[in-house]
Amino acid sequence: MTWKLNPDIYLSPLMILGTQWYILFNVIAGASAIPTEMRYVAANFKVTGWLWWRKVALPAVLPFYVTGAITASGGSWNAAIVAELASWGDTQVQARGLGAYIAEATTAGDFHRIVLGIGMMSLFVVVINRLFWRPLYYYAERKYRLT
Amino acid sequence: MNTTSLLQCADVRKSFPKPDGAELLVLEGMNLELHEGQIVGLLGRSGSGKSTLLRLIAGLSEPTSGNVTYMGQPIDGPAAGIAMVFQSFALFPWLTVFENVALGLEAQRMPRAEIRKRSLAAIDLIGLDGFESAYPRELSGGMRQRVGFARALVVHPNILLMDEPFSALDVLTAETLRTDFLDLWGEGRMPIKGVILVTHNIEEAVLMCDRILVFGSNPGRILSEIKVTLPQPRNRLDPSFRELVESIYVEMTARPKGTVAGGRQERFPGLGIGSVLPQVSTNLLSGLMEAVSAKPFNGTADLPKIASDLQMEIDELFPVAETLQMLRFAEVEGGDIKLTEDGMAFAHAAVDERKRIFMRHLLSYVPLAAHIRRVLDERASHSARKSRFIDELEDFMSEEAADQTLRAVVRWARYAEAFAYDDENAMFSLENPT
Repeated sequence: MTWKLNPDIYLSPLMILGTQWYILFNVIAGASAIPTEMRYVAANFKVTGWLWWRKVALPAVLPFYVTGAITASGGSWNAAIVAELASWGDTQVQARGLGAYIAEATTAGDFHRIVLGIGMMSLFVVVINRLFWRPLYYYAERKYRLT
Repeated sequence: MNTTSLLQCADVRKSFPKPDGAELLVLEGMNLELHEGQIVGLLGRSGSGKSTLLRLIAGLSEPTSGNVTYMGQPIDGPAAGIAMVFQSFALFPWLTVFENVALGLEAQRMPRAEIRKRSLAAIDLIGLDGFESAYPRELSGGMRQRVGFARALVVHPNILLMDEPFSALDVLTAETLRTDFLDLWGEGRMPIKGVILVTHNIEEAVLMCDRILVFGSNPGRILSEIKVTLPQPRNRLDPSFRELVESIYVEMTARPKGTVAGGRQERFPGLGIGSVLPQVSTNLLSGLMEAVSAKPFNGTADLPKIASDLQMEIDELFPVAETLQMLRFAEVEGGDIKLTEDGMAFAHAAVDERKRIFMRHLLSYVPLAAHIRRVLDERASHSARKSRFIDELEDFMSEEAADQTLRAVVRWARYAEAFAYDDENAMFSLENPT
């Protein structure tokens, strides 16, 4: 509270860090899903070091990483909306953004602005999903899924 | 024929620690030598340790005792001159055919132009021309395994290890691949000097190998060594080919006589409560009895003949035949299966009569089934927990085997309606919903 930092920035690492567990656990699950015979192939042909990461490990966990990232970004969003308006005793820290907008409107009881805020939020989610996550997910599924 | 020795295994033994501190012996007294220009087959059923031996040779795991030497050097980790082909192909789905093949050379940090030249040569050799840019998912099983071969051959190994390379393929594709492989081998067009082939298919072993080591299980060991001197290309219908196949069947179905002193219990003879029971469904049991009782066998069938008639691999057929033998529905000896009187009666009976016969045999010849039935009979509640029997079994076998054995007995008892089992509560009981 004392340093008067910009809450737009300093609240961000907080919520990003808080959701990385999704990715971590998904990646662990992915790494353990590599079939034994594939590991043997890598050992048999002495695929080690950077080549191993590039050709074996990273591609194998990519679909799992994407799944984790989708979940994590969802979680981050959720946290972001809530965290944009944080209270510390009587002090209110407020960032600029959709979450703050909705929270403010709710406090003020302004029905039209709540609808506008929530509508925008839903639109954001759908657009981001369609344009970014979904193509990425299908790409990872198609090319990197272990069968 | 006795040219340079490529590989030697001397008195190799492999065991794994069990959770209770004891050790599980999977391989014992393995002595093997691979000479230049030979294909050696390791033939045995699943669980006979042949794949374990292959992994030791590949340097993917280490023997508990004994030595594996390659060109005079002890193997400690994957050796450069040994490449392997896998049953499941094990191709990387995100790499194209070319990239999959080139991987082994990239690992050797070869110049790019050289990698390209050699990879294309290997792809060409194995008949994958035109498929370089395809992904594995676009290929049929046969083509995928060709990639597996090309990937192994491209590193110019001295020894090629093959772990049941054809068993995941359909009959026709497998035969094409075998013939293509033998042609290349015979013409000396592959950069390899010796081959070790793991298989559970007797005919495949006789078709391809110069020497066959027959493996026995519990623990895995070499039962005998057979030299195959038939000239290539071999004909499956040739009488001497059939004779050899037949004699290996006889060998593999022979009852173990005078098992290793102090050794573990063999599967069926001297059956006690503590014997591991195989997972064989009653459908398979009655199916085989029906097949053997019907024409043209009329009660006695040659195992190789009935295996090919029913399109069963020995891995599938043997457990069924042995279970029939254990239940005294059949005799297996000298490569033949012969139904007993009750076996014939079962084959010709209707459902209810079959269940009666099966129940009688189950309770007479499977001590565990009789034991469970007795416990249930004696108790006033006519029920007992599964854990009670599991504990008893674990004195004789591993946790996993105990669970499997109990599962097998439940399966048979359900068919015979000898007792019931409720998996939800893990309870045995006598009540039969009527």
